Amino acid sequence: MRKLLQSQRELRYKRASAIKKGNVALLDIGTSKIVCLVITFLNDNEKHFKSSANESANNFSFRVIGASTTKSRGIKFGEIYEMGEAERAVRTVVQRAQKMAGCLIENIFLTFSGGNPKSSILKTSINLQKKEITELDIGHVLSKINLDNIQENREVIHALPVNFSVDNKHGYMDPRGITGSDLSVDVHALGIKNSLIQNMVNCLNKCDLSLAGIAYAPYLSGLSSLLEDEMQLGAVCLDLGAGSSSISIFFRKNLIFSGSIKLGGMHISSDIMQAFQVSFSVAERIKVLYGGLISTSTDDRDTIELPGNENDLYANRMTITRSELIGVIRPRLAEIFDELKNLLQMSDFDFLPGQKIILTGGGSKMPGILEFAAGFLGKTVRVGRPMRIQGLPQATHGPENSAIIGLALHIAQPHDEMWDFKVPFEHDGDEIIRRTWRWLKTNW
Amino acid sequence: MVTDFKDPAPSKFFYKLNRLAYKLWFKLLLFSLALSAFLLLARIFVFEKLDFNESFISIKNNAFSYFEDISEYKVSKVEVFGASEQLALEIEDLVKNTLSGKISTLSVSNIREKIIRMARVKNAFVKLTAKGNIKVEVIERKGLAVLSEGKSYVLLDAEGVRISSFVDWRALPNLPILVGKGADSQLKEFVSLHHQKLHSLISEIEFYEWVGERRWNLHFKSKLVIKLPEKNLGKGLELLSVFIEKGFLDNDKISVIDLRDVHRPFIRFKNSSIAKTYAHIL
Repeated sequence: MRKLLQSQRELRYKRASAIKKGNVALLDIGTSKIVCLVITFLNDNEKHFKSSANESANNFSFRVIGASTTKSRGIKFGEIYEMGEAERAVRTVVQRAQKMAGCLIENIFLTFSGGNPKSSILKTSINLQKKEITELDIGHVLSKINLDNIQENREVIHALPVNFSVDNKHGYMDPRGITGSDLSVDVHALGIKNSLIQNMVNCLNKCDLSLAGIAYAPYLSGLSSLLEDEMQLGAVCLDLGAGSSSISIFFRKNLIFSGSIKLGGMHISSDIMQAFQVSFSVAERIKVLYGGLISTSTDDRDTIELPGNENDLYANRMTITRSELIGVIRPRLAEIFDELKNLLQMSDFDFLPGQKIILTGGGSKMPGILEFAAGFLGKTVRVGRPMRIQGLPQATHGPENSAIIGLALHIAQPHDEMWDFKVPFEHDGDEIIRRTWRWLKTNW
Repeated sequence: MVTDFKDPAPSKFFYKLNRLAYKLWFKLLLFSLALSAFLLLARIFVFEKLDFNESFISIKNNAFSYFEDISEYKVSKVEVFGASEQLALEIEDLVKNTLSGKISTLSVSNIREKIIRMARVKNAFVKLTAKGNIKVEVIERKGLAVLSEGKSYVLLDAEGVRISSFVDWRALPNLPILVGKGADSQLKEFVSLHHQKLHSLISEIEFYEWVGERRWNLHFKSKLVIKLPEKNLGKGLELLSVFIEKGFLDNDKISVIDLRDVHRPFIRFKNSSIAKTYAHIL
């Protein structure tokens, strides 16, 4: 438990030192593409650092100074399958971003959507002698939660205090200053497979990069695409990626559940490839250009010419109708949504006051998906576009980039997690030595 | 269809090199290496391959051709440094006579050559100043001895160069007189002899005789003759100094001290009976 807190705090300090240096890089490793952004923190942040004791509580203004995207290689379902290929892809994207930003990338913040996430809600409480709750009390109650044994072979990457209760009254977001005799907390812990994180870190180390922070992509997609009211009332963010689709449920501005399935847009392309006997790239192309989910009367007459072998002049040219294409796409998407619906039912989403569903990810650009999702899930659905950030062109603010934009927002305005609170049993002397050692390692 | 797919990923080496290029110390290292390489190449190609000296000589030699269009000029003043008054006047006259007023005759090297040809001038440096003055710096030859040649006398400097000649003996400067054929060629030896050993006797010596082009005889005003050896001149002079200490030179009864054989010096007295008186000394 202490080891976990220390490793997460190491990342927090790395984040702080990276922000102090001015430039940080963000990397989204997806199944279809790898995106790298370099952001610079603006000068007026310096006074924020000085004025506040709690560094993680600061909000920083930033600007994108470098961006690059490349096709993913060696990655399936958001996990690394071929280290060499993945390393080459990361090198490509990092070098391009470096060139555009004109600065060296050393520390990098990582996001990904694979790793079979597991959400757990943990509850604990402490008795107080009718006094005003302080930050130390919050640390005390949080320290009673043991994250070590709840998820086997998993690393907890997010541990968000989602609800505080004082004397059995729920809904406190910040109980400091409230007087009570019983303090309880609900913590949402999100764990990812150890091996996946280790592979990602190894890949970054091979590219001479140091991991400064890690965040789960569906959570970040929600952060960037959901409106404040939606997050308050309760909303679900469906991230339709290429290799996996995931959900993240927000309530009272906190992530309360997250899960994913290993089905995505890549499977649709694969179905098209098999159905029409074309290459994967052609299948991907016709899916993007002509794909859809709702058939109309003209779709039977709309023909799509499939590109064949250009070198073979005598080969028969093959055409398909758009109905046929929809006939391939729709069942697979129905399967994906069916799986996602099961996940939603597991998460008790139906009991939340807000019932809105926000679609993000590349799959949400499919024509007719709104109607399809609304009909299938029986909820209000909209396609979420990520928040605008400085320096990034309009064209790149599509739903497919919601995770990386969410990561930028998360770094600038991080939510308080378990390791951000000071735990009472920690020795101050020990902490001073560790901080000194960390400073020496960072600066020399 | 794309057949020749090119991997966009940089190789590990170029990736690391690219990352290094962002580091300040690497940039400074590259800059210093580039500067060193540039300086090395500059040294090879500029200073060794190109002969600037040749260019300068060419410019110097053709300098006057640049002024061919200028037909006339005027030298406002000739300044002479390092020469006696008489020599300075002679040089001034020489320079003025050399310069005819035409630009073609204005050659510093030509003037210098003419000045150097003067017997009394050892070396000269001529400069044409921006104001139109000619500045001459002279190293004048100093007379060291007078060589007697028949009825005339020649003034010699330390190198044996004939500075000037006289006919009237009364006009001779107060310098040692050399007699004998080829005495001027032995002037360096004479100078060392004169200055090192006989400095105290200069006023008493009438002249120095170079005998048979092989040895020196010293003729004193008291009519005493000292015959120095051909070889071992240094030893002969040491022996002479012993004689001087014993007061032999002050004795007017001695006519010749013969030191030609340093192992057997001879003294000739004007009267043989006196020799008996000095026998115990010798």
